[in-house]
Order: sequence, then structure tokens, then C-alpha cells
Amino acid sequence: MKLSVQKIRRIGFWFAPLLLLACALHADAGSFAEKVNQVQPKMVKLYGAGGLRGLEAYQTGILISPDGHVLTAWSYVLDTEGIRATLHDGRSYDAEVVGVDPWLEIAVLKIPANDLACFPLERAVSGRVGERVLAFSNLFGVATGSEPVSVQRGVISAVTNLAARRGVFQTEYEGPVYVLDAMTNNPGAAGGGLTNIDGNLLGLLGKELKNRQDNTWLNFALPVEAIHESVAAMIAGRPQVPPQNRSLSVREPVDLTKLGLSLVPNVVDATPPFIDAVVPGSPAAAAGFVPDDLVLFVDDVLVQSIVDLQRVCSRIEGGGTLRVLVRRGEGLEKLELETEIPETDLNAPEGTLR
Amino acid sequence: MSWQRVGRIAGRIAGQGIRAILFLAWLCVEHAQSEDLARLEEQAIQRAAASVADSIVQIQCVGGRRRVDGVSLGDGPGTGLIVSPDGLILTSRFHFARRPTAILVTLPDGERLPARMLATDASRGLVLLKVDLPAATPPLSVPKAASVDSAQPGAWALALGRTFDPAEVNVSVGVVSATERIWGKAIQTDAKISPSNYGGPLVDIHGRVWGLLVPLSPSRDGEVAGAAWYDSGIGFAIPYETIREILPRLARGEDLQTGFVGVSLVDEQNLFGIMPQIQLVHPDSPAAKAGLQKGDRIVAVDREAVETIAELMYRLKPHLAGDGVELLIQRESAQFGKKIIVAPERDISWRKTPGDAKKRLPPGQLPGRKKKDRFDHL
Repeated sequence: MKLSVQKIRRIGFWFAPLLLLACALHADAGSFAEKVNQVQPKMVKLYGAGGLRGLEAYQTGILISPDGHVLTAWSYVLDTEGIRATLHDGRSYDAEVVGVDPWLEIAVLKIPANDLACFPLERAVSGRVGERVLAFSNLFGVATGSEPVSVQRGVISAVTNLAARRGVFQTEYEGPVYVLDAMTNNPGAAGGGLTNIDGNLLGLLGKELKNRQDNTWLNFALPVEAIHESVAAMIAGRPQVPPQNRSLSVREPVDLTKLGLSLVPNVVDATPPFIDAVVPGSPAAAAGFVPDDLVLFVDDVLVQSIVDLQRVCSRIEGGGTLRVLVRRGEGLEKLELETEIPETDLNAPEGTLR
Repeated sequence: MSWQRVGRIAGRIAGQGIRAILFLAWLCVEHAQSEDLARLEEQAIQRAAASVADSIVQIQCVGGRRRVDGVSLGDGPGTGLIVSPDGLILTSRFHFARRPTAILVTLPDGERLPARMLATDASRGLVLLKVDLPAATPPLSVPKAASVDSAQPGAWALALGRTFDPAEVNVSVGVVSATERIWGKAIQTDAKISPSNYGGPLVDIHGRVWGLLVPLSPSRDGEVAGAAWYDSGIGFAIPYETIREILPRLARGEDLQTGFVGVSLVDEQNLFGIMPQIQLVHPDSPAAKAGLQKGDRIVAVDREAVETIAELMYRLKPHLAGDGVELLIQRESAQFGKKIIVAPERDISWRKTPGDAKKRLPPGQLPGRKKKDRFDHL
């Protein structure tokens, strides 16, 4: 039985650290601390060009390979030879640009290090509205020294497509985004990571962007699935291909005048697109337009003004059928306008339809 | 050492060990539970949003002004809340500051309908719209309301809009920060409130409506007042209880306005330091009709004692023009009650106060911290 006392003591000896571990675990419980600690080693702080006229010389990046590939936003910060990347533990490396995708406004950098914790993009997940998220970035450069970046929490407010709101945002990017209800998109935050509460990567924090629709700042992240392919191409050294459905490729845009529609004079900023006259026998007349109709939607795009209507039409290839929603009196009318310009009208002198 | 004693110690230590094992097991369970809790909260948020989504519509405006009161307005869609099955939609006045040529409502099922403005509540920044439903349309879904008493500070609060994607509501999550803010008129939340959810509902974790999201400012009136605080963590919602009271009036086409007594107070910028004392009774005002005089002190409103200008504002500001208000007046050593009917601002001939003359303000401009700050006349 003397032995048993020793044994028991030994058990106690082994129990102590176990208890401590349990307590540590317990302290994490109910918060996201554990997940945050797993994510932080995969984030880097980037320092580069800037510092003039209020332009910050820093941003954030995500490690996406154990060999030091860093995904970040493409910005002026990268316009320098001397980009410096600092890891969560203070290790610091020179980074070189591997590739840039000007359409997605992202870039891949490389730092000379191995065996790094990382987010392999093929293992990224996708998020949905109402999902709780964590955002990691060096916003405002608060992490000045060798410490990890800042963490914010929020939910995904909306999953929306910037392409559907062409011209609304000052960006080349037109794909899907996660809109967030946390103030994530601040100076220095571009290139940061968005994860779910399990610490899995959802997306890349975008640049500061103003939503022209309501003049508010937008907080958003690019979903990984929207950029994955491009990143793989950059790492493999393949050239970037511009996305297919670009608006630049419209050869013969819809011309409402030639289709027999004339609008009221565009006298003030944002004149509503009221129909002034419809040429008899024209495609517009055939579609059922009448004077005083107010054009509201063209192919599901809301038009606010005559200028807006012209902009929308200039992006639509002529020849097809245009769905137009107009307000007539107190009601709405759905009209279908054939945009094939009739032969006879092609020869009509300029201005006769006005 | 006797065997007995050794046995006792051993037993005690072994007992501790068993307890420690039990404790560890409990910790593990607890840890798992808290992970589940985060997930359960997430599910509850998504369920709450889904349960009220059928009552949230998108509002689009065409034409109108670009800038109002120094705020640049975008073309962006706004949000509205269905408040009757036959097509009454309550929303924020903010969306119509630009005086649009046409208003369009997109119902949750995607149906687009023209809307007309029935009435405005300028006091609480609300607008009531009406859409005429086509014959075959099923009745619209009116949301469930939560009592304002359940809006306890700290409780989960969801702010919902339908501005990014007409097919899906956008969600911002926070807590109730306070109730009876903006002189007793609004619930305050730290969910992100902005043009992307003005006009949408603030709901509890069960998707029941607490109120309607609007921009508000404690010191300014106006269609875009308070919009400068967008996404700041300070947002406001008009309680559904208030909405229920005023809805019949709005539905009749009655525009509602803040009620004014028609007085200026001594040192009116000193909100918290002094008793409210009348400096000037403005002509044609309810105060003038009731015979109030310079030097009178207002000591109670609706039988509630007021000791500072802030307390007076808190009692008076929620009143709409046309409401009856009972003032308790102290004139020298006498105290007497006066029942008055508060009037809209435009019905009162506002005079310059002696303070204005000192500051040489241009005619028509009242003193204040900013051009339109209004702590100065009640």
C-alpha cells in the first residue's frame, strides 16, 4: 500500500497540467479566441509604397501556401521594389510580386520561407447571409510592431453581385461579394482575411469602396471561389485572361433614336427619362410606347435619368429584344422592344426623328 | 503510520482524482456546448431574418434632387415594411428627400408595383406608401410585433433591409442599446443602420418587429438629419407601438408634425443645468393663447415634474401637433395648470429672442450650435 500512495502522488502530478490545460480550454470557451489563434499565423502585414498625401504605405495579406505565397489586394502599396511582409510572430521577409490580376484587383506575392501555416484556397468554404464571420486585417496599421493583426467580428449582411450594379462602384471588379456589417474596409485592411467562426477562409477583404447608390462606404470581401482560378493561374505563371462578359465588347449598341423613340430634352441634372414622341411605324411604336411614358427599367436595370438610360443602352448589343418597364399614368406597362433597326430608317437623315 | 491512516489519505486523494476526472469531463461538455451556442445563435439570426423577410419590400425612386441639406443622395434602393395586407407600406422619409418623380415597390415575390405617398410623419421621419395590388395578388404578409418592453438593452437586435439584392434581405446584427432615445421617441441599437436598411424593421431574435429603422438626430429636424451617423453603431428605430397609434391617421392621408408650445427659454442651450423658464412667448402660439408670460417657469408636463430643459424636451418632443399637453406653471409664488394644444412649427410666428439680437443673426435664422440645431424653441 506504500506504493499506492506514491502512485496517487504521481497521478496528481500528471493531473495538474491536465487541469491547467482544461482551464485554458475553458477560458477559450464561449469566445472565438481559439479560432483566432489558429488564423493569426496565416495572416501577414505588408509594407510598401505610399506615405504621401494620406495614402497608407501598408496593407494585409493571406498566406495561401506553405512555401510563402501571399494573396493580397492589388494596390499602389505594391508599386515598389521593397515590399516587406511581417508574420504574426514578427518574422519579416522581402516579398516579390508573383502575379497581378487587374480585373479582380488582386495580387500574389512570394516570401522566402517554408513550412508556413496557410489557407489552401481549394479548402475554402462559402458563406451565406446571416453567417457570423471574423475579419483579420491590419486596419489603420494599428499592429505597428511584431504583433498579429486586428480581429473584428460581424455577420454577412448580403451576398450580392457587383456586376448587377455596374457603374455603381468605383472598381474594375464586377463579380460577387460578401457585404459585411462590420467596419472592415478601412485603410490598411485590403487583402485581409474573412473567416467563418470555425476559422475557415471565406474571402479576401477588398479596398475602401464607396457605394454610389447611397454614398455610403461599403464593407465587403471577395469570395474565394471568385478568385481561386485566377490565383492558381498566377502561381502557375499562366497569363491573365480578361473575363468574358465585359461591357467593352459591345459593337453596335442599342440606339433608341433610331428605333423611333425620342425623349424629353435633357435640361437638368437627372432629368427623368420621359418619352417625348414616338415615330409612327417604328419599332418603338410597334412595342407600344406612347408619349409621356416614363422609362423605369431596361432589362431589369433601373434607369434614373436620361443620361442613365443612354448609358445602359450603350452597354446592350443591338439586335435582340429589350424588356422595358414604363410607368403610364398610375400603372406600369411591360413592353418588348425589338432593337433590330429597320432598313428604311438606316437611310433616314440624322435628326429627323427628334 | 498506521495502515488505517494511509488508507484514509489514499482514499481522500483517490476521491480527489475522481472528482478531477468528473470536473474535466464537465469542462469538455461545457466547451462543446459553447461552440454549439455560437452556431445556435447564428441559426437563430438566420431564422429570424427569414421569418420576417416576407414583410420587407424594396423601394426604388426615379428622378428628383441630388443633394438635400448638404447630404449627397444616391439613387440606391430603399427598404419598406408591409403594415397592412392590402398594400400599406411604412418606410423612412429619407428615401423621398429627393422628391422623386416615381416610386416603385418590389414585393418579396419580385412583383413590381407603382406606389403613391399617402402621408408623412415629420416628427418621426416616417412615410406611408400605398400600392394597389392586382386582383389576383394574395394578401401581403404583415409581420408579428414584439412588445417594446421586451426591447431590453443588451438583447439581440437585427436590422433588416432589402437593398442589395431584391431576392434576399440584408442583415446587420447588434443589440438594443437603449430605449426612449431622441427625446423619448426611439429605440437605439448598435446594429449598423444606414441607407441600406432605413425603412426596414428592427427585429428581435425571433423575428418579431420592435420598430422601423430611420435616421434621427437629437438636435436637428429634417429629412436627412441623423444620416451622418450611418453605420456608426448609433442607430434608431421608431417603436411599433407608436406606429400602431399613428398608422390610422397616416392611412387617412394626414401629415403629422412635431407639436410646439411656442416659447423660447432662458439660456436654452443649457440643457441640464437650469430650470426651464420662458424668455419669450411667440405670437399666435399655443403658449400665447394660454396666456403664458415671460418669466413663467414650466415645472411639470402631463403631471411629470421637469427640472431641466432636457427633461422638458423629453416630455414635450414626442407630442404631435394637435396633441393636448398639460403644463404646470409657476408664476412668482403661484402655481397653476394650463391645458394647451401644441401646434405645428409653421403656425407660429417665431420672433427673434434677445439672444439672437446680441449675436446679430440674419433674420429667419435661429441661434444654435449649427444652422439647424434646435434646442432653442419649443
